[in-house]
Amino acid sequence: MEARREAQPRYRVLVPISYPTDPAILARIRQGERVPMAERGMKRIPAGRVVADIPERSIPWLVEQGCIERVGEGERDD
Amino acid sequence: MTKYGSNDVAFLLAGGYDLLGFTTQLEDTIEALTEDETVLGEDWVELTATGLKRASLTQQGFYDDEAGASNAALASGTGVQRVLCYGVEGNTIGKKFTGYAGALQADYARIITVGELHKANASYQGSGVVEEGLIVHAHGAETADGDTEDDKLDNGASSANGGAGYLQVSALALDGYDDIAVSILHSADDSTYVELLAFTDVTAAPAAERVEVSGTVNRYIASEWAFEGTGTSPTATFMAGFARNP
Repeated sequence: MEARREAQPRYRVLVPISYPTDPAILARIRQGERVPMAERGMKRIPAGRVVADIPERSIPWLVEQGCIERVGEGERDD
Repeated sequence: MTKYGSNDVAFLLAGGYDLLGFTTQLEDTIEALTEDETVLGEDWVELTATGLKRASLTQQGFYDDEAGASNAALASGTGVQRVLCYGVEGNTIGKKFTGYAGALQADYARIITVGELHKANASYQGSGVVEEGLIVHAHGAETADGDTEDDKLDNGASSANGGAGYLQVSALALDGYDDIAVSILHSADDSTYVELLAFTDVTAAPAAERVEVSGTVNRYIASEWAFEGTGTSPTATFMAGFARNP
């Protein structure tokens, strides 16, 4: 279990971001449902933190726009 | 097509001063500067637009000497350039507002007439861009940290050329907190929101700021605010908006 968690790609947050992490909520948003913020349980991450739970479909545009960057295996968290 | 009336006027905010409750008439004029190209032998005058535009705005209303009211705002504003915003389609997220990057107050006239209430009129010259944006946070009071992601703006698609955010803080009681921090967020998928721009932390009202950003502005836009530090029962009355560059 621990090994699988370590295999998750990690990203350093370069610009403050917020996102939901509950898979059920993410599925509802993907289906186009208007999910109230109070239900989403948004996680707020300041710049500089390293995280591994950013919603998968957000990663491409966040990387492209320079909001997050991939952290290498050996790199330590800030 | 929707028609609007005087009851739809959302706000008139200059440098954070809330002038709506004192104003009876607003006149905003955008003028294209032209040059006369008429030469000898022509029957009719020929004009060409030079590409420059000039904005001017006049406001008429009542004289009021209360703190932060029309006299305080206009007497201290002559010769001063302020960020100015007004909205005429309702004080609701998603409605249009007009933003002056710099409204230079050219004059202030107090008019005293027998049998009438005193009047306080002013005119402004636009210095810099005048643009139309959308309200991201309606002018109103907040008493706790929050955001408008539930009521975000949906542009239908991203835009590529940046834009400008506007903030007008008309009243602020921090009650122990250090300041209020307001930012504009954007998102490509309405799932993850990213800070698009952050205004300077506000420690006192009235205050106003316009912040430009370049590059991609994603499809969804919202605002977020937080009282920073430690305190008891803060209140901030503010308006935030964003104008995408075409």
